[in-house]
Amino acid sequence: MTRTPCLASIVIIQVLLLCIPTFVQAQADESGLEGMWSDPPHTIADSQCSLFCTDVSLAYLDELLDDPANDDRPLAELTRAAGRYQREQYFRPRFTAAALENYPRDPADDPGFLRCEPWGFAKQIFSPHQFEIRRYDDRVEMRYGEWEARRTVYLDGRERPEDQAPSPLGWSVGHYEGDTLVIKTSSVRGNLTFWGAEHSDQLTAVERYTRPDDGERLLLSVTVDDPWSLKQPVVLKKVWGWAPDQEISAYENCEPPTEFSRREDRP
Amino acid sequence: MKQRPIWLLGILTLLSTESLYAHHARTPVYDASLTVTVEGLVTEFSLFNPHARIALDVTDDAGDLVKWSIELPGKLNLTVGGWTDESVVVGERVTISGNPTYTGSSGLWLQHLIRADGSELLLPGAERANALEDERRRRIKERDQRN
Repeated sequence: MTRTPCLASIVIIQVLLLCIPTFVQAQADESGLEGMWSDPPHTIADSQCSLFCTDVSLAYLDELLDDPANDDRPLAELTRAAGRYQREQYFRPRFTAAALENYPRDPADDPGFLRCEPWGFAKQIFSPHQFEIRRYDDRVEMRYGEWEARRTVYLDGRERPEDQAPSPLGWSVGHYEGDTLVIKTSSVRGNLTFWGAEHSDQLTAVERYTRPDDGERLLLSVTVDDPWSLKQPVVLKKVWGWAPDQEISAYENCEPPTEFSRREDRP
Repeated sequence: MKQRPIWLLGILTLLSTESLYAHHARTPVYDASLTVTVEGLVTEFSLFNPHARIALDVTDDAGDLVKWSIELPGKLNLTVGGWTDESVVVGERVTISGNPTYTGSSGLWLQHLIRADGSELLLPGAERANALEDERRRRIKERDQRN
C-alpha cells in the first residue's frame, strides 16, 4: 500500500525530468528567431536595409523609383541618393553640435581599418552576412560573421557589475514579448557608428527582433539614444534572410593597411 | 608570356553592391571612380576574412614582370555566393578589372574576373543586382499599366 505511491512518485519525477529538455527546447523554438541568418532576400527594400535603413530612406527611395524621370538612372545611383537624403534629412538634424564637429567621420579614422580593432556595438549589430541566435535558459547568445563577434544577452534580469567599465559591445539584458526579443543595452564604450558619427559611453539602445509570418526574414528595429551625440533618439531598421546552411568562418587575417589616402587628399 | 596592356579607364562603374557591402573601409585605399584592367597568371588565392586576395603575375608594356595584389570581399561574403578555396586556381590565366589604389601601387579592388575561356566568376552581389533590376523593371511596367 505504501510502496505503490512512492514508486509512482519516482516515475512521475523521472518523466518530468525527461521532459525538462523538451520544454526548454520547445520554449526556444517558439520565437522562431533561433538559427543562422545572413544577407536579406533579393528585393530592393530589403537590400536597402542590408546594413541599416530608416523609414525616411525607404520612403524616399520609393519616391525616386515611382518617378518616371528616374527610369534611366542606375538603381545604384538611386539607392545612393536615398542614403544621402537620409543623411541630410534624418541624421544631420538630430545630431548635437558635438557630433557635427567631426561629421561625417573619415573612414580612414576607423580603428577597425587602421588597427584591426573589432567594431563596437553601434556598428556590430548592423554588420552584414552571418548572424546566429541561440537561446538558453538564462541568456541569448549572438554570433556575428563580421569579426567573429560574440554577444551575450541576459534574460534573467541580472544587473551589470558595478565595477565593470564600459565595453565595446556593452551590457545587454533582454526579454521576450510574445515572439519579439527585446534587448536593452548600455555601458557601451564611445566609438564609431555606421551612420558616420561618433557616440559616447552614454549610448543606450533598445533592439526589437521579430520574424514576420513568411519566416524568411529577421527584422531589427532599434532605437538608439545618446545625449552627447543625439538631440533626439534615432530609429534604425535592418533585415536578414534565413540562411540555415551558412557558417561563420574564422576571422583571423586582418592586417592594418600599408597604404591609404585621407579624404582631404583624395581627388 | 604575352600580356595585354593595362588600361586605365576613367569610368564610373560603381556596382549596386557597392553601397550594400561597403562595410569595410576600403574607400581610403581604392578609388571607386576608376577602373583598371590587368591580365596575368594567378600565383596565389587566399580565401580569408576580412578580405580575400589574389596574387597575379602581370607583364607590363615594357615586358617587365609586375606582381599585382587583388583584394576581394572576405570569405564570409564570398562563400554566400558559392566561392570555395578552389574558385580561383593557381596557374590559371585571368583578366581582372577593379578599382586602383590612390597611391598608384600595383593593387586593385576586384570588380570583375574573367577566366581564359571567357566566363566570368561572379561576385555574390551580381545575382542580387540582377534580381533588383528585374524587380525594378516589373515595378516600372506595373506603374505604366496603372497610368
